[in-house]
Amino acid sequence: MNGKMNKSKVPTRQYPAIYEKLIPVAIGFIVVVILTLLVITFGVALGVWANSV
Amino acid sequence: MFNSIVPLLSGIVSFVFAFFVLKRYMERKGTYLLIWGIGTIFYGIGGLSEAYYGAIGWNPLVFRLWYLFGAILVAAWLGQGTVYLLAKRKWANILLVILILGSIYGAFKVFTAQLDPTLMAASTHTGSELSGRAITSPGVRVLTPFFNMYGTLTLVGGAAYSAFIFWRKRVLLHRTIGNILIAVGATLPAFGGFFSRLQFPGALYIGEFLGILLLFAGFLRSTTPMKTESVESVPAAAD
Repeated sequence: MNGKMNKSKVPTRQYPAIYEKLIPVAIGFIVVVILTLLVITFGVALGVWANSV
Repeated sequence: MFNSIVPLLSGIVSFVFAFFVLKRYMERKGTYLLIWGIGTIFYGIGGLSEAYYGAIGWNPLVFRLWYLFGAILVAAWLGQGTVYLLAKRKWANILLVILILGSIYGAFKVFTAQLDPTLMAASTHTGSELSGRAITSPGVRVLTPFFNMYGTLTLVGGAAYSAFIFWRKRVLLHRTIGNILIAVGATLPAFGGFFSRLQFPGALYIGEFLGILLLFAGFLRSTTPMKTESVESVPAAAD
């Protein structure tokens, strides 16, 4: 008797290949931009960098 | 010419965008759509004010409208729409009340401020674009970074967070892409302002125009499912 059991595998979802590559890079870039903007805006609010809008 | 055409285009795109957002609000309701619609109208007022200045010249009322709607309020109100999308209703309502009170205060400060348009040219700024330097009264320009910080966190941060959540689950690709476009678009006016201070002529208006284009594109992408959202891959069974 064959004792082997075929495990049923749960299908995983993936985006099309190009998006799998681009999206994490884009999100990471946006996070860096957010942090930079917050630092600059905070500095302007404190008067470290004068003459904002 | 450039300093009137580009912001005019920004204004037109903003109002077209606002039409689509408010139309969707009328169809589907959703407070976030109403708030976004208001925010895009603010964006349009800012653009048209800049176009007026570029085409006709200084006008104190137009300047005040530009500064209030274009410089202070727009990012925060767009971000508030995202807050309604992501946060619990109770907190969104509380933050909206604070934003409304802050906006009323900001409007009071802007419309009672003393102005000197000659100061716009006497700076590291290009001088051909509107600038908050024309405001000489204290306690006005200091409001801008607080509203902008709130807008950055909520609009840009909220869009990036939404994109991350959809990506992590590998669902709704159109919303992942749409939110990335929105997040990038929302940062472009800030980049435009930055390069403007480095003496790149017209950078602010270009940043604003590209920003509203990406925001609009992101909205359209988010609300239009794609044919290929995701593919399922079944790992090979072990023998």
